[in-house]
This record gives sequence, structure tokens and C-alpha cells, in this order.
Amino acid sequence: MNTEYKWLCCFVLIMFVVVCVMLRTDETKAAGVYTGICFLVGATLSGTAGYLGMLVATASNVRTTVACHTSILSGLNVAFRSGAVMSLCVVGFGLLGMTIMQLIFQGDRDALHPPAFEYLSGFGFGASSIALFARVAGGIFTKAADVGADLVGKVDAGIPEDSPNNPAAIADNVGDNVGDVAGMGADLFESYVGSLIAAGSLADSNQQVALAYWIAGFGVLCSLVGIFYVMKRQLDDTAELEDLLWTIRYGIFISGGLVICFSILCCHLMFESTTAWNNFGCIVVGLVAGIVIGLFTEYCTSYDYTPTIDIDKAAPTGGATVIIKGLGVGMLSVVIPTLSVVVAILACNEFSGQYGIALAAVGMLSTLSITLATDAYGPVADNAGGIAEMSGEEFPDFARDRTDALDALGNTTAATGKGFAIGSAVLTSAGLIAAFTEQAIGTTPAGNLLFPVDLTQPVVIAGVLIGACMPFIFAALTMLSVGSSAQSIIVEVTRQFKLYPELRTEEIQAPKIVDGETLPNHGRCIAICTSSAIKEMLIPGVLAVFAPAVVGFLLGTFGLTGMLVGALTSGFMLAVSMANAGGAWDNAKKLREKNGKSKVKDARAALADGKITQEMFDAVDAAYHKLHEATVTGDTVGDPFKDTSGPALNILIKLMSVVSLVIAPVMKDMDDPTGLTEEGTLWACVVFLAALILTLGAMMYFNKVTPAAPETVDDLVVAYSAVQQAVAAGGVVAAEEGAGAGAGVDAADVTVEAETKAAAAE
Amino acid sequence: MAQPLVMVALDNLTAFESALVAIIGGVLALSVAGLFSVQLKAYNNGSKKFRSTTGWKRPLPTAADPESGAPPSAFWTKDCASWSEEQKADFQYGAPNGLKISNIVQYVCAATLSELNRALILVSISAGMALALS
Repeated sequence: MNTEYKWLCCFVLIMFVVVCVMLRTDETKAAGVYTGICFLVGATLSGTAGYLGMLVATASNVRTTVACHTSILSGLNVAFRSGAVMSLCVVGFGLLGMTIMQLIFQGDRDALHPPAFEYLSGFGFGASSIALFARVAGGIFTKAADVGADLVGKVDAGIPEDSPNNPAAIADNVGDNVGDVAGMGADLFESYVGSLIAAGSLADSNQQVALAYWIAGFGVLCSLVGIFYVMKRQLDDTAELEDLLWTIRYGIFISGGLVICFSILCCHLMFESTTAWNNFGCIVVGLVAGIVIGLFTEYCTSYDYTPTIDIDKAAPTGGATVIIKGLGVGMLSVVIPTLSVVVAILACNEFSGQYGIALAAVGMLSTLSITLATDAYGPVADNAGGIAEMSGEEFPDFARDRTDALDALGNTTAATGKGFAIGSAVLTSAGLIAAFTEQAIGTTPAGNLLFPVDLTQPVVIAGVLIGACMPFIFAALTMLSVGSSAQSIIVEVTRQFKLYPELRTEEIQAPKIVDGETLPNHGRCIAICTSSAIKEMLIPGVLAVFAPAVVGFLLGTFGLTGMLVGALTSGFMLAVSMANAGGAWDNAKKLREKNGKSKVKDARAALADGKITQEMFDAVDAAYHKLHEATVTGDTVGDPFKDTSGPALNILIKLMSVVSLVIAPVMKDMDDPTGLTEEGTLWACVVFLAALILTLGAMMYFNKVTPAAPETVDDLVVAYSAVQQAVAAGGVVAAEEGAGAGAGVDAADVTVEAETKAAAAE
Repeated sequence: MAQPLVMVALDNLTAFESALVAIIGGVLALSVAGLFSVQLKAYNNGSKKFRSTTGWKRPLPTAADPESGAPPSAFWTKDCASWSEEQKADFQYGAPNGLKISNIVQYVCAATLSELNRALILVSISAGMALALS
């Protein structure tokens, strides 16, 4: 804890100084300091919320396993309560941090004077920076461990997913908490405060600012009602997955319904009839858009519906067709979320202008306490299953079955939560972009921009193109990071399996000392994941933080606006398609396991009864494994899609918007808001050229020296060289057998075997 | 009649009054989060004990026996020799493996987040340099 706070303090202090210096102008010398203080508080609260949530989640996992020993409802109760701690911390710290900072900087001026929200953009920046690193690094960590553990342990060795024999099992459990609890919490903390900042910045009156705060405040109360409903609903122990799912859905619907009731009250107390209904309409549109996006995400990713079933049906033709189908499903799944957001933006703009868009985001996030709880409970249930598996005799099989059921429920709610997070990020970013243009360009008394952004201007088009490119660069960097980190884990797990071959069995093995090393060595896998995550997060992080500042100072306010719009557009599409494709692949694999395992079980029973022959059973078993392998390929590709790159894009688009809002006062002081001067054009070209060269250099450097790129063995080359050796030795039979063995994974064994046979033939 | 009067009152909202509902909401959220945390911490005595004391019980760990040459059992540590009756019951009827794994996961998670924060400093220094240049 001491180390944690020491490094956190260093980071926020340095950024505090940076923000203070950057925003220090002659007119408002204190502006930089105020914004810097807000940054400091935002970063600290975001980090604290994620950290507390992670502590509670990791303490609750074993308690959930224990509770499942009693009943599945007890398990749900403990895990959901743990998720609720995370969500309530996020909401509580967000609301208190925002309001206290605002009251401090309000001073003696008029109530809710706009500059308070200029400073509060620093609060959002602080939250965003922590969110970005937690999400990106957490995503890389969790997927490197997950992919590595699955490929070598589950697919190759055939041992259970969470077997303690697998050296990457603990890293996998740790990754769930770092990525899905701390990362998701920081992500939604940012969205939550971002929506309030956008609404406050765009508000024209005290009532408009108050409405956003009141909706958020009452939203906590409404969500608590929903949370208690979920925890107190009586279900017997034979409850199906669908019953549990509906329990959570009812909780969310109850909370949403109550928010609507309170919204009517608040709007009609604060505004006259027409304005009240308009604002109320924005809140309802936001809430409904969030629910529609969540439900459609569930449709695309749940194995009860056509898209995922279709992916599973592609398994007989191999992994490639599974991947093609999944990509198609992911791309097609952007339609409904896009239309929902389009309708929300247009309707809210019609109701209450740009403030209405920000208010819709506030409405969507008003029930965050319960929606985040349903999301954060998933990793707890997942870890609970892992602990039941690793604890050996301590927990009976039925406890493991119950944790598996809770885990399956968590997967479904997590997919819905991701859709919700993306939708809220887009609405929040739209509000922040509107606030940025108002602050950086200025408005007429009628509320219109002094200089409207013209899309036909080259500088705007250049900005749009750069912005549209950013999510792809960001996603590529994170995907490559997961790939190289997972390779390192695969090599490490394979190494340990070779040193201690008994680890490849289902029976739990006692630790054993081999060559002075205690195996299985879980610590090495954790160390590999940690170092990879930290190293790999730096470039994407730097890119996201600096790109708006660099583009803004080179291409002016118009160019930066274009960049934000471009990033929002392509980032939204990419995030939705990646998250949904990944979720669909994951559940297609689960569907195959669900159907296939029962068939194998039936066949085994028939074999035991003597109704079928061993050959018939083997045919069923082999067919299942072939189909399962195809869906596992899809799931492995989809892992970084849905848990690393997709979710991180939410933060990218929000972070770039909020950084722009922070530098808006400086942008306003620039001589030419329409873009480049002649001298500026030259500098822009020089800087972009330098960026290009630096990027290429960095890519070459990291490809060359990264320790995460392991020495992998090409089985075909090894097997073929064994064939050549055997042929040279005159052993034709040995050569043929050596070539056949090339399809296996254990390349070193193939070499040894071929050499032995060649020697025998001699 | 009541509505216009309330509207007039709300027309003169101060910053504190506007933020009051959010402050109450924030305090409420943190209070319930605290309550849940305490409940979770107390749940089943930290999972030390969850089985029925009349059911199967785990054998207590034993030290190495020099006479027979038997090695120490899996959970044996020096502390085991001085366990109280309650500690013995926790071990016999509880989930020491599960708790141990949970503690390891928690420790590693905290250490990982700490490492991440350390890396943030590098980024912040880069940020300072770049902004100073701009």
C-alpha cells in the first residue's frame, strides 16, 4: 500500500505541475493551478475507487465459493454485493469529488459560474489518465495470461482451465481483477464524471447544472433499490440461468423506472412546462438508448440467439470460417447501437440543444450503481470458480457447478455492460466535444459558435482523417502487445511442463523442485504478464494523451475538432464491432462445450452399458474435440478483441475529448482558430514527418529487443529436419514416423524421438 | 399553486443547494459500500470456517517424524505446533487452500497495480517535456 501511494503521489504531482504551467495565462494566473488541483483529485479518486473495488473483489472470491457450498443464490448474493461495493465506490467518489471541487472553486462568485467547470475538466483528465492505463495494462495482463493458460493448459495438455498444475492459472485470476474490476471501474468513473462535466459546461442556467446533479444523486437512491431487489429476491436452488438473469434485469428495470419518476419530479420543479418536458425527454432518451444498446449487445453475443448459434454452426468447416462469421457478426452489430446513438443525439439536440446530449449521457449513467455492479460481479464469480478448482478436495463438485453457473451469468452481463460502456462513452464524448468547441471558439449571445466548423476546409478534413486513424493505431498496438505477451506465457508454461511432465495431468500435483526451481512456478508467469503490461501500455498511453495537444497546436481548433469527430466515429464502430465479435466467439465456444460435453457424456454412459463399441465412442469424442478446437480458435482471437482493444477504445475517445477540453482556454488564445498560418503549415509537416519516423523507429526497436517476443519453435521445421536426418541415416520408416509427429506441439520431443529411431535404424 | 412557489425557490439555487442532492447521493453510496464491505469481511468468518462441525474434518498438519522418517504434511509450519483450539477448528472445518489462493491473488493484484503506477511516472515526465516544448 505504501508503494502504491508513493508512486501515485509522484505521478499526480508531476502532472499537476504540467497542467499548472500549461494553462497559466496572463489573465487568469490561477486557472492552471485550479485545473491542476482538480486533476490531482480526479486521478486520486479514480485510482482509489478502482483499488478499493479490486481489494473487495479479491477478498470476496473465496467467500463466493464458500457461499456456493450453501446455495447458488447465496453465491450470487455475495458476488453481487462485492460488485456493488465497486460500483458504489465509483459513483460515491465521482459525485463527492465533483461537487466538492465545484464548491471550492465557486468562491464568492455567482452560483455555478462557468469557470468552475473549466477547472473541473482537469478532474475528468485525471480520471481519464488513470482509466486509460488501468484499462490498457489490465487488458494486456489478463488476456496474455488467459490466452497463454488456455492454449497450453486447456487445449494442448487437456487439463481443466483453472487447474493449479497450470503455471499461468494464478496470473489468469489476477488478470480478471486488474482488467475487469479495476479497469472497468476506472473506465466508468471517467464516463460518469465526464457526463457531469459536459452537462455543467454546456448549461445556460443554474437549474440546468442542478438538474444533472439531482438526476445523478437520485440515481444512486434508485439504483440502491434495484441492488437490494437483486440481493433479496427469493429463488430456490434449482433456479435456471435465465431466472438469475431476469433477477438482474428486473433490478435494472426497477432502477430505470424509478429514475424516470424522479426525473419528472425534478424537471417540473425546476423548469416551466415545455422546458421541463424537453429535459425530461433527454433523460428518458438516454436511459432507453442505454437499455437498447445493452439488450442488442446481449442478442449479438448470447448463445440463445441466432448470431452466436450461426458462428457455432461454422465449426465443422474449421477455425477460419468461425473467425470469418464472427467478424461478420461484429461488423453487423454496429447498426443498432449506431442508430440508437443517432436517434438519441438528434432527439436530444431537438429537445434541449447540445446540453440535451450531455443530459442524455447523465440519464444513461444515472443507474451506474447497479449496471456496474452487474458487470463487476462477473470476475468475482470467475475467480470463485477458479478457487473451487484449485482448492482440490475442499469444495465438492456441486459447488464448482454452481460457480460455473454464476460465471456463465457473469459472461452475459459483462457483454451487456461493455455495450453500455461504449454507448455512454460516445454520448459523453459528444457532449465533451460540444463543450470544447464552445470554449475554444466562443459563442455569440444567441449561443451559436463564432466561427462554425466547416467540413470542407482542408484543415478539418486532415483532422478527421488523423482522428479516424487513431483508434486503429491504438487497437493495433494493444493487440500486438497481447500477442507478444501471450507468446511469452506459452513458452514459459511449455518449459515448465517439459521440466515437470506430471503437470500435464488432471490430477493436482504437489510442488516439486527441478533444477533448483519450484514447479509449477506461478510467480514467473505473473512477472512476465506484469512486465509486458507495463512496457506495452506506454506507447498507446502517450499517443492518446499527446495527440490532441500536438494536433491542436499544429492544426488549430478546427483541425482538433475534426480529429475528435474522426476519432469518435471510427472509435465507436471499432469498439462495438470488436467487443461484440469477441463476445460472440466466446459464447459460441461455450455453446459448443455445453452441447458437445453432454453428447460425450451420453456416449460414455452408452459405452459403459455396453450399448456401443469403443470405436464409436472414440469417433464421438474425436468429433467433439475437432469442433471444439475450431471454436476455441475463434475465442482465442476474440479475447483481446473484447477485453483489451475494444474496451480501451472507449477511454481513448473520452480521453482525447477531455484533454481537448482542458487545453481549450489555450486554444482560444491562439491567433487563428481557423487553422494554419503559412509558417504553421511548414511546422505541421515537419512534426508529422518526425512522428512518422519516430513511430517507425520505435516499432523496429521494440520488435528487435522486446523480451516479450520469445524464441518459438517451428514444429514443421523441426519435424522436417528430423526427417532429413533420418533419411540421411537410411531409416525410411523412422523418417515417415518423424514427419507424422510434426503435427504435434512438443517439437523437442519429436527431435529426440527421431534421433533415437535414426540411431536404432543404423 | 405549490409548483410555481417551488420553482421560484429553485430559481435562486445556490451552488451548495444545487449540489446537495449529489452530495447526499455520494455519501449514501459510500456508506452502503462501507456497509457491504463490512458484511463481506465478516461473512463466514473470512471463509475460515464453513463446514458443519459434525461432518468430515481435515486432518491436522503434522511435523516430520525423525523416527519413522515420515516427511511433514502439506500444511505444516512451525506455527502449527502452537495453534489454539479455535485455529485448529478453522483448519479442520474451513477452507485453508481457498483462503490461501484468494490471499495470493489479492497480494499479486495490489503489487501489479503498484507497478502500473510506477510506470505512469515515465509517462508524466514525457508529458511534461512535450508540453514544455510545445
